[in-house]
Amino acid sequence: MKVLRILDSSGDRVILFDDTHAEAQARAEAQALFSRMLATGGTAFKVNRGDGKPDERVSDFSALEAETIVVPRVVGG
Amino acid sequence: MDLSWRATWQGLRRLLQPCGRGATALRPSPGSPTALFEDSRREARLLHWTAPDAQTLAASDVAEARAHALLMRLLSPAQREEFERRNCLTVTVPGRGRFAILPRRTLNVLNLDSGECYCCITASEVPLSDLMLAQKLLLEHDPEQFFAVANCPSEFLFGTAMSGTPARRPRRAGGVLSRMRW
Repeated sequence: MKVLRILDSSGDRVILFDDTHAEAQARAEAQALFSRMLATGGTAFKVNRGDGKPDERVSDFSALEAETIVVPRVVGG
Repeated sequence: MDLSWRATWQGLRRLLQPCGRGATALRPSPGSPTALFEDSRREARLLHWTAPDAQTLAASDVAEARAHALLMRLLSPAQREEFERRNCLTVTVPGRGRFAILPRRTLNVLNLDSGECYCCITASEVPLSDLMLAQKLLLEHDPEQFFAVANCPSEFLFGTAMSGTPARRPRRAGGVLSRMRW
């Protein structure tokens, strides 16, 4: 099961999905949200990758691993 | 006007001194006079607030707790230990040095070599711990984006710092002050 966490005012919105046929709807929802967030300037990072692999920026939905954090668009304060 | 960068840097360094409190020390212990005062103040506030106001406050507390737990989980062991000791965390940006992320919303990213502060926030409202997590991830894995959007008041005023010792670092003539006629 993969986890997509979108940072928002509630802390984070969590979407669980995987590549099985049974989770097709959840995966489609996750992909739509992922695409929308990146299209509006958000940035996604693969985290908790295991085996000592460092976190990494990701922009391709098919490349998502176990856990992904999506940061909303950032602006100068 | 005194524009001593050494004085500014020394002032900023004091912010990073160990303060002897962990993340949990932000809230006073239950039953202590401070806690009772905080409780009564909170209660008085709530009495004057409407029910939606109280719900918003409760929701923001829950959101912050949730964001704090996520931040703690995603920090490296060294960063977690530092956060518990100093309530801030340090990240290393390849080619740019070390940066401290302080627990506040504006000008909270501090270059530990030059003393310059950067301000970069999310366009939508997120809890403070989520903001710190976003800044950590951007600095460590996408620093170009961070520095492309972050505001740095000293660079705005005096120009970008060039290489050299932090105390006597020359600056490119790009700041607004360099374009003013005195």
